[in-house]
Amino acid sequence: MSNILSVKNLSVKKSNKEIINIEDFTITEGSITSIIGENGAGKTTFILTMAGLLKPSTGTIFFKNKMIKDMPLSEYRKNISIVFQENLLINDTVYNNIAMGLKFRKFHISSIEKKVDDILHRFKISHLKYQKANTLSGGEAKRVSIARALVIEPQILFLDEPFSSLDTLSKEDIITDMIKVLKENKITVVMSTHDKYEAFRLSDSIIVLEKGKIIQKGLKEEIIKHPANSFVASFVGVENIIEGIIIEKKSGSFIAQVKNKYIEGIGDFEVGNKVLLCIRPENIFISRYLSESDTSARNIFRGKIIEILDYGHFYRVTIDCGFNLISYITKTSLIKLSLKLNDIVFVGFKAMSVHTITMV
Amino acid sequence: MKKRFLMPITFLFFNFLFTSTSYCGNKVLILGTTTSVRDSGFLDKIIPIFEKKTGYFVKTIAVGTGQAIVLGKKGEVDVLLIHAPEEELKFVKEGYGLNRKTFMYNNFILLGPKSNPAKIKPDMNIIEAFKEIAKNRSLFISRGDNSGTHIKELSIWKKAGLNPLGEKWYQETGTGMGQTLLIANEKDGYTISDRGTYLALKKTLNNLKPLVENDASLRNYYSIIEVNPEKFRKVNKEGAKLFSDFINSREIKEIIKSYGQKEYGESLFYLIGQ
Amino acid sequence: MDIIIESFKSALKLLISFDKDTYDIIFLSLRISILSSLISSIIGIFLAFVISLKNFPAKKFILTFINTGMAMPPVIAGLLITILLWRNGILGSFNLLYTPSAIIIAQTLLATPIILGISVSAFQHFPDKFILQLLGLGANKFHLFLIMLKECKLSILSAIMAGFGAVISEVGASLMVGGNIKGYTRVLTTATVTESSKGNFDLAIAYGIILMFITFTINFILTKIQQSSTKRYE
Repeated sequence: MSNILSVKNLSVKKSNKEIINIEDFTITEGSITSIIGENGAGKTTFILTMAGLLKPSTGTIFFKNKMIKDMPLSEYRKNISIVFQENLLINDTVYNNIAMGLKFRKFHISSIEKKVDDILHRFKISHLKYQKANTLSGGEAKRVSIARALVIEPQILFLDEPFSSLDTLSKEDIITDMIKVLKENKITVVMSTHDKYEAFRLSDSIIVLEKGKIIQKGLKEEIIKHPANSFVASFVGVENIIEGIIIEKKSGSFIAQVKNKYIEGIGDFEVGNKVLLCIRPENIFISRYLSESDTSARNIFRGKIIEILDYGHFYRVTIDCGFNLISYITKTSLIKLSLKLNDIVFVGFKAMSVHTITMV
Repeated sequence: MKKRFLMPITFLFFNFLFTSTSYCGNKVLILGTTTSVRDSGFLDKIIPIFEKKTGYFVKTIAVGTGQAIVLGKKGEVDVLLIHAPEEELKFVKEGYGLNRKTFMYNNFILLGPKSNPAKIKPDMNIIEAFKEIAKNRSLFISRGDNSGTHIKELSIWKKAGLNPLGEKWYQETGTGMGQTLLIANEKDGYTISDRGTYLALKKTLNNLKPLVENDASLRNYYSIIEVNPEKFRKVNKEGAKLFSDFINSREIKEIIKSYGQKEYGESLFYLIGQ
Repeated sequence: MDIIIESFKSALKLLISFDKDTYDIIFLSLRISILSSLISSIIGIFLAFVISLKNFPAKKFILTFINTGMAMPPVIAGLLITILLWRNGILGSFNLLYTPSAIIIAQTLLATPIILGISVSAFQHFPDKFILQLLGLGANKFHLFLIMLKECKLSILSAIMAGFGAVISEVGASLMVGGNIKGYTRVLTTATVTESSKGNFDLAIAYGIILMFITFTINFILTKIQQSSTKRYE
């Protein structure tokens, strides 16, 4: 798989403030990459620059190994398309909105109607062909916006938090329809998002942006297992993020103090380091009776159940053991253990399931 | 349906926009005159006759007397038809004008409110009347715009040895004759007006009446002056001469004699020597 | 009160009897003001587009200049243009003074800052992101212009109506540069001045009524265009 887009030493400054600084970044053809990061991390700036809509202060962008600064940006943009969070439809029919890009890019007039009809069908909005754009629902308008971007057959599609304003159900449907078109036409996708389901559902790789720099990139499995910071940790669904100080170092493992309790984890950290200990809620088990010798888990605590929430498929149970721990358990387990609010229970997890991040 | 009409309507529309109202052509004469001359309607009567006769297009620029004279001094008009003898003499003396011919006159009248607080009597001459008004400090409305009427009014104050400028009872409107009459009518003031404008507005001026009329000092003389072509290359000297001769022709003399008879039962203008 | 009723009657009579003088004046006023509004709109809207998209150092200064130009007193504009057009003046060889063309020039000078100023504001309201979206779809500057024009239709048409309203109703400039020559440069507003100066108030008001009627009709047409297809609720 060849590299369709790569970025070297890219820097974008606005009024002497550096917004993004990307040393090295590559996208393979046909892949779907998600960019995640907090608000203000520079996701939009990064996407606009890669799309050729923002001129970088320094740095080079290569499109299929050709420097894009060797051609006028409008020339480069013929290969891309973009969708924003806002739908940005003109006050006209759905047909005219979708046909816009085809007309701009001078597609042959006889082919325009056919292409528009085809994309309308793929997004299941053929019945809206002549409807005015300002009468559409949010979901319908988003479909039009995406259809409009895809009908012009781009090689790379950029999306900047495209589904932020939609509810989960509408999102699901649209994403399904969109993926079909993307895969069929082998379109490379770069998408920024706040939603982990989108990121995991769609992307092959994820990059994390913080203060304009890439602080983590990799396949989604990697990110989930080893989030680079607390933001990524909570993004990927780590519910337990606990502050502590390393007080003892052993070979390959450590003991951290949290309030007046001790947690054992694995990894190389120095005594005195302030750390964040991340434990996925699925990895915390609850037990009525427990003794250390009965289990291989190094971390066992006694605490009181202070909240039980029904999450449909499972329960989310919060236990106060001096610090809060959140555990996901199945309905069956809850019933079997007859867990109720204010029950005193034991909670435990392996040292292996503690993912540790140094605090800065 | 609507789209079909778009083309012909657009065509008609642009056709309409670019049609000119009248042919300007090469024979153009620019006549500088005053608003009161225009308002009397006299020019509306004689200009078409001139245009038909000579094929000229006359652009009548009616402004205040002061401006008309300045336009003459700048060579922006070809011929002047005004009524300010002292200024006219200066104009000719300074070399700006040629062939000054005074061809008609009309009368100014002193008008006053029905209440007549200064007790002006019809047998008074105008100087006496002005003295009474000043003595009584009665409201006097002046045009104050350097027009022929205004200049005449000032010359009377001067002859009477008075200077009312700045006095509370002396108010300047800075506007035309019609407006000034209305203001005098409203505010119970005395004023000087040409007979023509007064007669035209008589119906509306139910509070004013003529008080002093036939004083020779109240005569308003109209002259025609050709602008000196030696001073300004662009002056149309043929046209100016044609117009000057035309004004002094017998045909026009007849018109002047009878002008106003039909509408007001009396002449508005008089020939020199009448 | 009577005079107003009388004036309405006169106005109606003049219109219905196709009085030549009156219709000459009406058509002249329309020709001149529509032409100058057209020229001002083309110049103003195009310049507004260019200014709103670019960021240059003197931008705020230029915008202030334009906004001040909107308030230019017509009679002063008229005076300045008269001095330029004097036949012994700088542009004298064009022989434009005391012609309808001079009035068109003066009115264009008055309307352009108005239309320009309001249009700049209209275009600046167009979201930056929308411009990026259109560029991302392949739009060039011309496409951008057409779309922004259509989306900002509401404000742009307000700009045009403001410009037209300013010139059809102004008298100072028309009087100075046109000379108020009967049948040639006498328009509705200058005719009103002449008739009131003569004391013919009913005729003056009649002209005024006709002027308002014309302005209303034209604005009605423009407003229909402005409000079409912008229904908020079905």
